[in-house]
Formats: sequence, structure tokens, C-alpha cells
Amino acid sequence: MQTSNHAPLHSLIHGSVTNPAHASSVLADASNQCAYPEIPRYLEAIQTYLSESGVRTGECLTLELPNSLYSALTVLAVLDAGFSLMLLPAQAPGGRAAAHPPAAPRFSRSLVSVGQPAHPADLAAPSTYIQIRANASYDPAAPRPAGNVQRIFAKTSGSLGAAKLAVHDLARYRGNILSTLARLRVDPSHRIALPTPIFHLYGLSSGLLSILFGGASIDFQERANLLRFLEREQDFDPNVAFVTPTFCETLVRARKTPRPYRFMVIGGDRTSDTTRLRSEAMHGPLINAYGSTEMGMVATAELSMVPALRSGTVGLPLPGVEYRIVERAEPHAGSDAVGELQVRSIYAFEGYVDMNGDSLHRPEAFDQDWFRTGDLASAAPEGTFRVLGRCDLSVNRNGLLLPFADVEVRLRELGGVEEAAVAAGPESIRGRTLVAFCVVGRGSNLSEPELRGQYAKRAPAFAVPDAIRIVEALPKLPNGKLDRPSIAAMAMQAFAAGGRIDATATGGVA
Amino acid sequence: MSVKPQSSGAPDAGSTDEIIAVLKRIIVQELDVNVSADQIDESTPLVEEGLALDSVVLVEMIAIVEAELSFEFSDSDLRMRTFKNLRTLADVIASRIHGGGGA
Repeated sequence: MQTSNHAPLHSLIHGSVTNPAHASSVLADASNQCAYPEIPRYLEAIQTYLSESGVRTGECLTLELPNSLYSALTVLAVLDAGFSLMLLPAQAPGGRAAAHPPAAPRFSRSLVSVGQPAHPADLAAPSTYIQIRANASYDPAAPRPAGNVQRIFAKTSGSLGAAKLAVHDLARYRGNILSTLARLRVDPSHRIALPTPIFHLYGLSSGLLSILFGGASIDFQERANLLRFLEREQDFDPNVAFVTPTFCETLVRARKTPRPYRFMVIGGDRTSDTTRLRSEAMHGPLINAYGSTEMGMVATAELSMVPALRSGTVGLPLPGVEYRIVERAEPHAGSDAVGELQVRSIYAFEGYVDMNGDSLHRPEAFDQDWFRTGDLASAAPEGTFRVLGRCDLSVNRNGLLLPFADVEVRLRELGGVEEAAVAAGPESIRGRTLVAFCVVGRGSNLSEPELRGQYAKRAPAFAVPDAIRIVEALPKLPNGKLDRPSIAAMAMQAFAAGGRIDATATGGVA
Repeated sequence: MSVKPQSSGAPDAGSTDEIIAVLKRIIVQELDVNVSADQIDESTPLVEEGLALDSVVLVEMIAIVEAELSFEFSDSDLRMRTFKNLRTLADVIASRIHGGGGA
């Protein structure tokens, strides 16, 4: 297959895998591995297979990717050949192709699904691990962003209704990938455990691509499985890991003895101080990073920073990225100003389209030319900042702004509390009421009033929920994140059931 | 409930079977898994297929099992092969209780 002239990552991919300084680095997963110098041969085999299967130059491929070596080679081959692509998670665990093809955009002609062969497959025989199907909803007349430009389409997180796809021009976005590499200083001596999914733009660009361009070895891990992570620690011997806050918390709870890493990169939501400190004691330096599907990597801390800034903030914005914190009317209880985080970047996304390919105009997503992240942030020393939670996950209490994450993090620090989620109930005289739902460990005999009493000792009065309910489990989405709409409904139900919230009530939520 | 140390000369199977019964009760009664006792046996896969216990539930299960049976896993026990099913898990626990062996 001829490589398109419009493949902005082509020279970076080939430059890295043929760099003699990277020759002993590998890409691996639990079942297979390949050395950098072998990669060009496998990419060519995949490109030939695509071509022989009727895939045409210039079309947009929808890629269904489990977190595996096979997926990494497939997405690299597709990027290298100049195809535009849409990212989707693998539907079935273990990478088995699902019976029903996933929904793909109407402008995408072919579905490329990567499977996980039962036995290590010959990487030069892509037909054993790649399935190519026609997209049933393909419409040649469907609109598609103009120009002979290689693009990535990525579903935005948290879109509950019709899918909203962020569109990136790769020629522009590559600058963000290279800045991430420069900030994290990835090099060939690094062996990186990567349980963060590469079907997310964040995992693909900040994980796979920036690491590959830095020449490090990568171990792709499927579904952030704790036991497999610990097994791979022994077999792959990583010295760097990219993790989510939830996975980091699981890891420090399970681990018995320290296992030093050169550093761990943690991205995503807010992490409790307890987890941060325990992780640093067990694993060594923790580097906090922040990004989004629309803006790519926005900011990361650096290894050279003092711990309070390195893991307590998200560090400084990347080159080409600016941020501002637009203060809300309500003051925050802390000393720092809190407001909505707004970002602009020379590497930003082009806009949104829907699954029909129609442009979505979202004026509410911008404040002039600043992208509204929807996250609450506060300024921190030396130009760094902290991300506190989602703006819509906060309430005004007694005239003060209270992010739910503030309450949730403190609740999880109480002995016996394993998970916590907070939601707003109806208005009361004092502002929106607040209900906390906690999952307590089996060893804990804490009652709801005791829990609230303990919490009240550690938090200002305005931040104490009107009720704390102990529940068996919190509703979760398939991706493991909290199902916030259901939790909000539970909070309303908690009121409806009891007529009023009684802080001394002992009943659970129906 | 506690598992009595095995008396010398007694058959080994009794102890492991007893541990399996404890594990079964913990899974059915203590963990956030929608499963009844008759839906699991000693060969039901615990992770991914079968019960599909996720990492958060696994950590909780480890803590409960250690507290109830008064022992501690070592880091090298926390492997897929240990948590393959109730039988493999009980075997590892039995070896820990009866001598703290293992890597």
C-alpha cells in the first residue's frame, strides 16, 4: 500500500523504530512481543492486508481496539499509511469480536476490529488478528470534514445522549504529542506499564505515541486488571507506569511491600492525599497529568518538581497551551481562587461532528476562543494549578462553592469507607441539599450517624452532607466510572422516600 | 468463623474444603457480587469469565479473607493463577496457613 503524503506521523514512527538507540526496546503484552526493528515489517504486512481487503486510500477507518500489542501495531499501521480513523473500545473482553458490529460513523466505510488470538499470533500474518468488515451505516454522501487531511475522531467522554466526536487534524495534534514526550522525558531506558486504554485519545497520544517516539518499551495491559498488572510487574519488569486514580488506589490497597518505579504518571480525576502518599511510599514519585479529548494533554507536572507540586497539582501547561481560571461568583472555602478551567492551545481540536458527519456547533463549549473544560480548578504556586472536579458536580452552600470531589475525597479518607459519591438534592433554605452515599468495608460497623459525626469533625459545617447513606454499591457505567445521573436520582429519591432528609436516619436508599 | 489448624495425620482435603466453604460464603454474603451459593462451585472462574470479579472487589475480598482466616497473602500470591477458581485460591491459602510457604 502506498503511503499517503498526508501522514504527519509517518516520519516520526519510522524515525523512532529504526533509530539504533531504540533497537533493544520492545512493544509487548502478556502474550506476545516484538522489538522495535521488527516493527516496519509488521506495519507493512498490515497495510498490505488492508489494501488486499479492499480498503481504499483516503477512507476513514473505524478501529475497534483492545489494549494489546496487536492493536498497537494496527493503529500504528493505519496512522503510518495516512488513513483517518475513528477510535472505539473493543466490545467484548479479551478482544473477541462481538456478534454485532459496533456503531460507526456514517462517513466511515470500513470497520477494523482487532482480536486477541488464543495463542500468540504471527505478527506478520495480520489476517489472524484483524477482522475487516463493511460499515453497514456507511453513506458515501455523508458529510465529512473537508480537505486531504489525516484526522482522528474520538468520542468525547461523558456524552450521554447522541455521540459527539471531537475532530483532530493530526498535522496539528502531533505538536501536542511531541510536547508530552518532552515534558515526561521518556527515553529508551524506560519500560512502561500501560493499562490505560489506547482506544482513548489520551491513551493513544500520551501513552502509545509519545512513548514510542521516545523509544521506550511498552507493555499493553487489558482492562487494568490488578492481578495481571502484578504478574506483569514480575515478567515485564516495568520501571514506569501510567495509571488512573482508581487503579492507583486499588494498587496501594492490595500491595503488601514497596515496589519502586522511577515514576508513575497518574491522569484523570482527583486523587486523595492518602492514596498519593501511600503510592509515593510504595512506588516512588507520582507525576500528575491533566488532559481532555478535545485539547489533548493540557498540563503535567515534572519529575524535578517538589512532591507537593509534582503530585499535588497538575504542574504547568504544555508549550503551546494556555489556561485561565474564570472565577465563579461564589467564593471557595479554601484560600485559593476557584473557577472554571478554560484552555486554548495551538494544537487543539477542530470542532465536533456527530455520527452522521454533520458539524455540531457548540457555542456553549467556548468562551470567546477559550475552550470551557467544565472542570473546576484552582491556582497553585509557581504557575501550577489543581483540578478539583467537574463544575456541574458542585453546589453552592451558604454562599460558598463546594465541589463534590472535596467531600468525596474526605469521606474516602475515613476509616472503613471504601467508596463515596455525593449528589445534590432539592433546594432547601440553606441552598442545595447534599446527600452522600458510602460503601463501607465489611469489617466496619459504622452506622450512618457515626459516619456523619466522624466526617463532621474533619470538615467545615457547610461541607457536611445533610445525610449520609450507607449503600451496598454505587451505580457505575460500563467503563467503571460513577453513574452520576443515577446517583443524582438516588439523592432525590432519598428525599422523596423519607419526606425529608433526616441525618439520623438509618435506612438505606431503596 | 475460623479454620482450625489441621491436626497431624489428618487428611489434607478437609482443610482445603473448609476454606472453600468460607470463600464461598464470603463471595455470596459479603461481596458486592450478585450470585447465590448454588451458582458457584470450586471450579467457577473468579476473574474475567465466570464471576468476573473486578479489581476493586478483589481487593475487598483479599482483605476480608485475610481477616477471617488470620493470614496474609504475599505479593507473589496475587496472581491470576491463584485466583483462577475457589480450589486454586484455597490451595494457596492452605499453604499459607499451614506453614507460610510460597515465594
